[in-house]
Amino acid sequence: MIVQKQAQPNALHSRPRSAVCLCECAGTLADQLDFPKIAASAGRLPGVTRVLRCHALCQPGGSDQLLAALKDQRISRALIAACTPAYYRTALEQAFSSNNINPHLVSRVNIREHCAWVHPDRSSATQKASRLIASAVGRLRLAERVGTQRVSLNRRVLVIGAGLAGMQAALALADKKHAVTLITVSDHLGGRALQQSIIPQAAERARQLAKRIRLNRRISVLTATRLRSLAGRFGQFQAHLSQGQADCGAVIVATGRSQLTGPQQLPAITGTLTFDHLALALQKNRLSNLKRIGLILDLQTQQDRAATRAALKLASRARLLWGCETYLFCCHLRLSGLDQEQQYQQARQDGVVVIKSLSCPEITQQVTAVRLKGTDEQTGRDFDLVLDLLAVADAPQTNNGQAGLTAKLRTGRPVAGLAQRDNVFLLPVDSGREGILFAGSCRTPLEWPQALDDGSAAAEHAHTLLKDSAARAPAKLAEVDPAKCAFCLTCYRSCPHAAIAMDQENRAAIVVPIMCQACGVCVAECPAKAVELVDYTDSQLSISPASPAATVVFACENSALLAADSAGLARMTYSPDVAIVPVPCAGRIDPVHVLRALQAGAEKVLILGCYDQACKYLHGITRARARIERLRTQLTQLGLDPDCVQIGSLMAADAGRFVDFVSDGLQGDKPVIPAKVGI
Amino acid sequence: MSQDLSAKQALIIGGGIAGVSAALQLSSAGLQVHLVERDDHLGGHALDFGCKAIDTCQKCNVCLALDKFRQVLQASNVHIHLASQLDALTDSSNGSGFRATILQKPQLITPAKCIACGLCAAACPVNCISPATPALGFTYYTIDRSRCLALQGQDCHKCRDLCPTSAIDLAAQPSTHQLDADAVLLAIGYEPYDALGQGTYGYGTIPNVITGLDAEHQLQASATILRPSDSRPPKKIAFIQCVGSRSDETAPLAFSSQYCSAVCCAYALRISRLLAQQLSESQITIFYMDLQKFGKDYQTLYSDCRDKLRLIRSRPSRLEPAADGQVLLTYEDVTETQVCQEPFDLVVLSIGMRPAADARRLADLLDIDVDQHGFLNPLGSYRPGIFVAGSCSGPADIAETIQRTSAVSARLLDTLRRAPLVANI
Repeated sequence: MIVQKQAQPNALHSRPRSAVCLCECAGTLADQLDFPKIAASAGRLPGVTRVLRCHALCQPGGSDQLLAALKDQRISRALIAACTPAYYRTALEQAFSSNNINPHLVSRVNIREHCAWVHPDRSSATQKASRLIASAVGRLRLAERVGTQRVSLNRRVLVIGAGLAGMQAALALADKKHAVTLITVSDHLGGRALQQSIIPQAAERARQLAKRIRLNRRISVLTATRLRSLAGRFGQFQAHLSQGQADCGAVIVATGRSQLTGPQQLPAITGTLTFDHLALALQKNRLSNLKRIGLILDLQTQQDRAATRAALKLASRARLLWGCETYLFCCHLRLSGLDQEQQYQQARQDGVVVIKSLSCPEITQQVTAVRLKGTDEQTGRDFDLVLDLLAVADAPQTNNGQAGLTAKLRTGRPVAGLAQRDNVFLLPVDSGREGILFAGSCRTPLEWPQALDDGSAAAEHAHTLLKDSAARAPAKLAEVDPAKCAFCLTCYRSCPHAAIAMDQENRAAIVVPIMCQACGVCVAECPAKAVELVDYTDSQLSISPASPAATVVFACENSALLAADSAGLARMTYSPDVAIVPVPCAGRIDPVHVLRALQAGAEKVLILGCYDQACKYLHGITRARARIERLRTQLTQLGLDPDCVQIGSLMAADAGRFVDFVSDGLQGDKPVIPAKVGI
Repeated sequence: MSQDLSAKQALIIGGGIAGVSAALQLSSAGLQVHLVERDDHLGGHALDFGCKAIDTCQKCNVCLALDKFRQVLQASNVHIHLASQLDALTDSSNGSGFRATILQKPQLITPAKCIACGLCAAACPVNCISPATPALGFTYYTIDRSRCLALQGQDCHKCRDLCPTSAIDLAAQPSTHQLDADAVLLAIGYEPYDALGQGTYGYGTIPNVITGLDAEHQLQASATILRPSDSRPPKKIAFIQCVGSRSDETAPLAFSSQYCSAVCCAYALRISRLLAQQLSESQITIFYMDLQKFGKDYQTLYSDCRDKLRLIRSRPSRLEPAADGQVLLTYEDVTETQVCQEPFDLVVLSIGMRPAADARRLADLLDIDVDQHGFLNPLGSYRPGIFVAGSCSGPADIAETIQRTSAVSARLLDTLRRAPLVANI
């Protein structure tokens, strides 16, 4: 249905013959590592038919020997034991692709930053290097050749929301020759910008964009239309709308914030003016005989710089037009736009009195006036003001429709009413789900010119994804065994990228390769062990060398592994009795791997990954932490020391933290897991 | 008719966050990208920032920036020119695009050849060789040109003799080369406010007065912040906000600093929360004017700060050295309507952002307007095909820089997709 599975009989699998390539780093590691010994032990490993000793892989011509070996029919896979791959990867990958070498059959270990440079004792560094190579060769023996496949892409883009960001995105896409379906729940184009009298420029721009959209033949507009559901995959989505269906390759969500829903709730006040009312009153010059007026910006709720800008502008205008005493009450002026400090200075020059206080003044409603009493924090003076008119900024409304929408799009729960999840790696417009992008103030509060920019940016991202009508994707990354799949939906719910579809006919889950990011979260979550991740299968992660290390570290390749590299560069030292097993994400690790490592003789197992919300795979670390905490509870119940299993977070550059993690508590009591227990 | 982008080249000036994110975006759209960086390494200021996570991430986005730097080093169609600057830009002779003259300082150590073995650094008699980008988990060594003995005319070549890959050439000469570009993006970033040069609050003379940037460096190097005088954890810490921002007291500077630098509240509050957790006995005071909003979880962060930190709305008038390395801070407490003096173990000056030193020269070279503060017009140049991105067009944090750059890159690509640029008439 979604992607045709390719049968992959792997002839090489039965008798893989591997080469191990040792890079001697231009002779600089001779004092730290005993290369002849490492080469000898590598040569004895099962399946290894050739050991190459290479002078410097990263230097011009340095990889010739390796390439020659790989082109030899008798070698089917290779392990490179060298330094941090960043030094040699780019050059080597180019050589691989021009020589048609499948990258899945080449694996790497770091014997410089993870061994030579962190363990001053030559024999233990050598021993560790041999051990790393042994485990990596074991994993490599089980590696599989993975091809690519052609995936067709529908270049039409569905844009949800016809505010400034949505309209801008639609027009930018049409310019790039994409067909666009633009839907809005409203009965007209323009969104919130049209309803605001405070910023006439935004309203004017909205009218212009709406006009251009109506004239554009590539854009079909559906008003009073909602998204009912979204099926399919990136490149071939089927959007079911309240009127009809739209097939599209990508979706841009630009639903904005909600319509204006009234001012902030203040104690003891009913029926206050909104800023918008005040703007209209100023525009039409409707009110007169005002002696003293007040504007409240953010006494109860946080406001952004757009609201601050509006408040200063309205206060100045009222002061100049009506000549009344004008007070602006606020906690914080958000002045982080370039011209905003000038605007503030101007307002003060115009005679606006700005009163700042972190605590809300005492507010009492009188018959035709409002009384505010409190202390100004700037001057320390008390104030007691009777105001003829009080305007209050709108509470920043959360769009309640957002939750329903993101559930349909499977892009995670909104945070603080904002559709985009709060994760560092989603900046600026990503949703975490391939083919779905966010634009405008539905993802973060923006001023109107930025909302336009955001629309263009999202359109550019969508265009990069759908440049051509077809793309190449890996034939598989994670794969579900239909015979084992219980159709329990665990993978469907736990996939951070919503890359799993449920095949109703065959009652099995399917991983969509073009959306899969290969994090392995579904693999670890699946209760039936029905999913396997290429290059990181359960059997590959459970390989332990003959003499296991005291501490086994499952290291996330986006953080902990890089931190280990940094520790090496900084020549920090830690115990050589540490084995590092790279994983794509901490979320790949399930308790079985931990228990197998303990069973094989490890004293301590560490799972090191990113911080929550800085996890490249969104909630990979969160899921892992939950699983490991359950495991720790279970260990306690069995009377074992739960501290033999720990999970921690760190950032890629945090070398010191990595060393602290692997050095702490190595002497902990070793739990005894009987070897007979089947895990 | 839209143009084939793979035949086009973009020139990006500045290898900080803005330049690098633009390079990634433009190269993924198919362009050949030339990234010109003034320093010996990419990364700009962000390379020196530390992670501020407590148990949870505080969204300072430093890890995202580092991730982008690592990506760009691996990107195949991004050509990086280090230690280089744009010297001239003329219209190309064929009437479309530009011809740029790039001046490159001598490359004493060729990054592509350096294997980071560190033999040179260990042998250098004046310790002038250091790793360039250790934070990326990938580095090469660079020579401080001002301290290298060989460059002062002395007969020293210890490093060159030891280098196992012949990556060192002490006789390297500056070079000039020409690059063709269909579009130019200026992303030269900012300079931190020069508290030392201005002698602000006695920085540089009073011990234990540090800047926010110093704090970031410490955080990056050691994941915590200690008092410089005795390397001990400070108990009473003060942050002074808006140093070099929102004030016209910096009048001797070429440009006014009557603007909010947008980033200082965020970093001060994040570092404060981190310290409050690390040093549970410490008391942290923030002297502020207005706290700027940032990030989606601002609400949580703000209420947490109000619980844990002492917030005083005041601009301290002066700092003086006191006994035991303490700093005596004088401020007006308006709630008590009196002038107070209070000693602190450590005072952090939350310095703001100033326009890049090179901004004026490049603005003149490329016909870009400069505003009253010295920042470049975000809309770019009068000459079509020249764009401006990142904090050189106004203070911005990492998130906003990436956001703005993404929009500018989209604009640049749209321009290139249209008919070939016509030379200025």
